[in-house]
Amino acid sequence: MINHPQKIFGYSDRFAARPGEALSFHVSCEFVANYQASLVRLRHGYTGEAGPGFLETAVPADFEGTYRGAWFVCQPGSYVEVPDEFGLLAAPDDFLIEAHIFPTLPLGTRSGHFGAYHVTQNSFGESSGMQAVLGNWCEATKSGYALVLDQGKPTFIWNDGVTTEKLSLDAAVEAYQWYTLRVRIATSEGKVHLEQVPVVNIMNRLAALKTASATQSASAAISGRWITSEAPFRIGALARRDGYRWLAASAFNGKIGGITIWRGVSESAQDVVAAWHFGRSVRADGLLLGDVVDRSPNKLHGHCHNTPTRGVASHRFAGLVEDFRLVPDEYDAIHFHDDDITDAEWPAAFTFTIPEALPAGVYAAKLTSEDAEYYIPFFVRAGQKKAEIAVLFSTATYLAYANDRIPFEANGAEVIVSHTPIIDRTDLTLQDHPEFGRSCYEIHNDGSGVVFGSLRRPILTLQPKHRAWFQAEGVWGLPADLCIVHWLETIELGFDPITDEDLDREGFELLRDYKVVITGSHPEYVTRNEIAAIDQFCSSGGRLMYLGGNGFFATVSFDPELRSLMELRRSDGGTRPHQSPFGDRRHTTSGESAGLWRNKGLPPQRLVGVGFAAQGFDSCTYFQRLEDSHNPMARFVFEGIGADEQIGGFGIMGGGAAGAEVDCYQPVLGTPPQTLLLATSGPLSDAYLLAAEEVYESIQGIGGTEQPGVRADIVLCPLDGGGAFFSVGSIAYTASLSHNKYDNNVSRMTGNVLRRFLQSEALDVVL
Amino acid sequence: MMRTIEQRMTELNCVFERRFTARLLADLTDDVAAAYQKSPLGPHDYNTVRVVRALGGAHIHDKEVVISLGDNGPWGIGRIALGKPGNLARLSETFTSYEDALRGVFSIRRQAFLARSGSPGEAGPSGEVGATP
Repeated sequence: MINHPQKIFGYSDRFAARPGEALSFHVSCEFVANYQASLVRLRHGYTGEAGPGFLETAVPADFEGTYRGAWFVCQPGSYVEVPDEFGLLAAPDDFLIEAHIFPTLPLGTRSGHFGAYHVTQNSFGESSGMQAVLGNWCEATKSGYALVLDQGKPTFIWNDGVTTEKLSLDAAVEAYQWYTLRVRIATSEGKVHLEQVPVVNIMNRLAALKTASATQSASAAISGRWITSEAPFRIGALARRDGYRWLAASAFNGKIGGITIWRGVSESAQDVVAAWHFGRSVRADGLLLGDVVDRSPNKLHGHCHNTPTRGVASHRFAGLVEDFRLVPDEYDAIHFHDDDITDAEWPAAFTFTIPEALPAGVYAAKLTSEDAEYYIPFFVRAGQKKAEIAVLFSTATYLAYANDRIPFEANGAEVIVSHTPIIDRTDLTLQDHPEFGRSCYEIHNDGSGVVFGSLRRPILTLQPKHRAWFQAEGVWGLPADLCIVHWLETIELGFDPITDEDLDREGFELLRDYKVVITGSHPEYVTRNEIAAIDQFCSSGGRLMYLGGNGFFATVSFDPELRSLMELRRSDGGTRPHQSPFGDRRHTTSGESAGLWRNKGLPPQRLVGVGFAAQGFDSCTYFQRLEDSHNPMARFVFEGIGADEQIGGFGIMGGGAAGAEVDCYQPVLGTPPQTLLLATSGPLSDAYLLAAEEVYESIQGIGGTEQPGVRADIVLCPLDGGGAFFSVGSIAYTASLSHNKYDNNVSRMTGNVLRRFLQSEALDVVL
Repeated sequence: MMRTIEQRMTELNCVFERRFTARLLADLTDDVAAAYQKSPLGPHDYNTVRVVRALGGAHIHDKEVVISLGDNGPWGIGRIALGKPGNLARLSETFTSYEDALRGVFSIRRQAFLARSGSPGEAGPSGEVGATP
């Protein structure tokens, strides 16, 4: 008898809710007949003996109880679905279908080195040999019709009333080449004709004169006895039935655009049935979100599922303007991936309306069975009564790293972290579930970079006990930020949680009433609105404690219509795991261009005094005090700490408070002149390399023993109006707080700053 | 008959691989091995860094990783193996520290490299237990 391991997975519809608001929880079980659901407050994540251990507190909740375990499919594959109320697309009688395609994986397998980490292996396996351009073909019932690539060959598939028929061209299409595909279904003439014409375009891999692609065509007889399909009409995938759901099937890899369907065989008597324009928006701001426009009189508008990438260069792209809002005709294309997954669309197992009396904090729906356990973390926001302190949880960064699979696919994973990856057991479970999708550090099956992160799928790296592979004993993301949560509990100071998407949406108003805002350990990805809100907060007397490293670094956006969805395209400069192709680098959810904030006029040094300098993952080090630490204005920071005392030569991450990803004081990039440079890191090894954005041309000697810019700096800056910021410039910092049961100089210094920041007197008033 | 792009790239890779192997064989001295065994996370001298990077930059297929088996250890070694549970094939030996597991990985790689290049090497952990934890 096989003993199948029990597994529980789930997700919530959003990260945070206020009292009175409801969250829904979506759960799927493997070999679990029943599971128990309960509410817990998450207090500390890291389970090892180097810290206080995993800490949670049970909290009564109305959803608490036993639930039947049910398994649901999580099906990747992005597509556009077109509701067709009047059946205009049901049968292709006398249709002329024209579509433009740019296949990126026509034969289902890829080879090569991709991205910064040299991804060479695909843990998801091979892609389907059949990739749908459009249609309503249902494979189970052999009904409907579709235009597909079958083993890379353009193919029209239909049922003539008796058997499945296929009309294929002789040769497979080339990857990274635009083509026009046309299918003329002359039912009245009893003939179907399929042709493929290469399109000259700047984005083709091969220049026009050097490509082997040529026009091809083929014809076949057709009876016109259609077997109508129940499946919906889709672009970029077909549909397969699973209970009440139509899941993605035969998903396409590559771009599709410029689709028009006419009815009528003769050129002079054609009616447009549908003319989708993927570059046109239904919104006044021109953003390309989920809705797809049909410009025909039939208004067969569609909707995107699993977030295919819009705002990508089409077959008409001229290469002169990169903003999809300015040249929509040049952006009439969507890039589909068969591993896109941004909503598992599992039914809600239960909902939870936040009670008025529930204190703000970090919580989780804890799901357990005899042999399985799963946490769905979420944040309870403040109600009417607010704390003096807000903690900004880096939920955008959580989504960027969500379900990171790099050490299983990339040759260079080990090189970039300077040691053999140390895998968490949860990572093995993730490997057994490719359908839960990839992180924004990874490469799609077709070799393009992942640019969307979503909460609405199981995220195993969000489990509070998870350890990241890139640092020994690595607490990263939520588990690292729980180090701050428990430290605040230990010093008996309450806080209200804030998420990136809340701050992006609500801006400065969300921060206005707080005295101090504390960031998480790695607020790498933020939106323009967040930077503006924090800037205004500090300019208005607010105090910011940036307790992390590599913060406020690169651009993300949240979908204004779907807040659980985050966009993170990559530019062609600076530290980046991959880069979006030319023409495809503008966020469709905000209009922002991709890239580092320092390259867009908003370097983090202006906001928090320090900015990304280097990364390395071999070991961490201490901080040493500098001259400014003895300035009377900074005396409060070091109360109880010796004049020559090293700070933070200990910690969960790499044995020190300074390390992993580090930031330095950099006046040339905007560190305010009045900023006090309190401390700098001890020696960092050559595993720490100067950030790519500081290396304009490839040079030798960019390691920590040769480059003065490879360091973490602690700064304190008083601002006009009473505001201030204190920045530590190190991801490892928060993992040192709990050392020796919080009796250590990192905890002491951080507490000194927080208590002083809570006092209203300006920093130049020595208390 | 016209050669394919794949054939040409393979030829170039073979040329590089020969040079790379010769260089690594010269660099992978007993002193380097001793330096790694002394301090798997470094800091290392220039030569040791180059060797560790060369061995660690190998193709991901069948590559060794360290697996954390409990909250405070032990640690094991596994090989990336698509198709196995967790896409990992675990070796039998366990270690009481991750540093020791890193040493184990280095020994395996050193032995395998020396065997491939026709030089004698040290014994290291290699027994596969198959199922992941």
